[in-house]
Amino acid sequence: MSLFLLGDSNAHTLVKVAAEQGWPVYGGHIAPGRFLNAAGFFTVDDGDVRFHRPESEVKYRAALAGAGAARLADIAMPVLCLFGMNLHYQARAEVWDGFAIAPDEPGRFLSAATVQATLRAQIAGAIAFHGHLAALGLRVFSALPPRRCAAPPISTRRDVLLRAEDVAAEEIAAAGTRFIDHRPWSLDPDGELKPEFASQADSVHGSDAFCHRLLEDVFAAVRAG
Amino acid sequence: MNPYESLPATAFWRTAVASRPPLEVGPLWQPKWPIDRDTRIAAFGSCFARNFGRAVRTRGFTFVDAEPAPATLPEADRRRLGYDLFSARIGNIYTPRQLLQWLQWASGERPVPDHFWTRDGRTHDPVRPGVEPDGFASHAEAEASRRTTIASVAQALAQTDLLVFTLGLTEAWRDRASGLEYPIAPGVFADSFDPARDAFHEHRLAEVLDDLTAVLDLLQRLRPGMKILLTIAPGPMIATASGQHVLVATSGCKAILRAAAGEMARRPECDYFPSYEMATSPPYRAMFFAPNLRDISAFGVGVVMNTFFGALGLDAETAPGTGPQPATADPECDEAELETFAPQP
Repeated sequence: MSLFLLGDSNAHTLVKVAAEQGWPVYGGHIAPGRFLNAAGFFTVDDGDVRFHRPESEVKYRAALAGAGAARLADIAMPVLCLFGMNLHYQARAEVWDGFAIAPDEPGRFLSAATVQATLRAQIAGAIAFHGHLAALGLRVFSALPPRRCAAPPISTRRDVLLRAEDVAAEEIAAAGTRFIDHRPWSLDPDGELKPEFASQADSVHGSDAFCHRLLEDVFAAVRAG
Repeated sequence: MNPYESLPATAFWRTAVASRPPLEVGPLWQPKWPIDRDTRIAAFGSCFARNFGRAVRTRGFTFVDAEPAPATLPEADRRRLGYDLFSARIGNIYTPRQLLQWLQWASGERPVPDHFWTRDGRTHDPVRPGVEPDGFASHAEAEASRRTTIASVAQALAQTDLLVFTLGLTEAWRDRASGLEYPIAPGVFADSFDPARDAFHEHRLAEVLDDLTAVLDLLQRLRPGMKILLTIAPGPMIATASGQHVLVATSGCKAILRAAAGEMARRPECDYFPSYEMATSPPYRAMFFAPNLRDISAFGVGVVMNTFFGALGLDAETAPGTGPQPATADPECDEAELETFAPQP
């Protein structure tokens, strides 16, 4: 069973691990996640999509060619799509600094409705993309990123990150994508990412072990139908 | 010789109004004090007050928004959740008493009531029922949100040079025990009306004057020198609980508000801007009203705001008000919810 990966920066390690294991994963990194969120980053085009960012379009065409497809609708294998899952960026300080999202915290309080609407809007383009994949009849899977807070200058707000996880999971599921939840095994009892699943190279991405385990979960879900 | 002989043409109806095209009647207003792009302008009040905030921003003036939404919240959600409409997220307030309540809470002169409504397991804020249409997830959340808004009102006042307040109604609903006044009747957005607990209240002229006096006095204590510009929402009432015909009730309501605004505008720090006259006076033949004869059309808003900015020496917008014309009551207006209770014709 093969897998077609449409990924953000987390795709790099997923592809590397898959290659090391000899797992049949096609596609890979299309763009940094921040280019795969906002409304209008792609256009629907006759069973296919076109990315407005030229670099992304080039990578996407190469991914299709690697999978032996001329357009997205011709992809015969399940798709792992990570668009909308750069949650460390959705919870960045630039947007959320000065706000409180829990009633007992200092700061200008935002209701749950405001927080959800904001997060939904931030990934609206990605969710539309997931919806388009479903409309093409593709079997689509997705997963949250490893729970990590980016260092400055992005400076992820952890409390917002946790809300973003819920919103993203709900939104992609509503769009028709099957959500693979790694949190039961990737987090410790305090809700922190276990150290072995964090990349040592930066403050955002997962380790080889994380990607290995996640791909195992995805393939298991694919096999289970 | 008589006193009228030396008066200008604007003092005579025939020369100032009847013999002129309606859009050339004027100037209707001359500001008492200079207002320019550096003047920090805040706006609160009824539905029409939102137009001031929007126009002020659009024209590049300095609008005080002390409770902004996250930068990435889309405009449709901002409007649905009560952001960007006023200088804090307090939703519509229709009477001077409702403004006074907010000012007293913000200044610490009165304690903030712990009073909320519920519906279907959600908590609603009775003093700003429209800002969270689906209610808050919990009492704690509603309380925290109100606390933030009160702090935002205080912050707004601390940096405001000119406060625009649009008076809307004289009818209101109150909690009998505390006297807390709501912008909408219990049971409309949430909770249910309980005659033993809730009371209808019609503000009479003397009360409106007292409340406006208290508002202006408090503002001068909080920020000496702050200017206040009063306007009156020109739209008729959507519904009246007075027992009168709604047209008669509207006329009485607006007459009281107009009289009170005129009286307050005699104070040096207060001025009156005649948007009400522009919309409702005979030469305009109701041309600024939307088909529902209640909301002011985008064209009408544009003309009114052009008058405001024109008096400040700015050019008119070339095509005011090209937006959609409402066929039913303005959905951003809390009072609009009452329309759903009208019997079918």
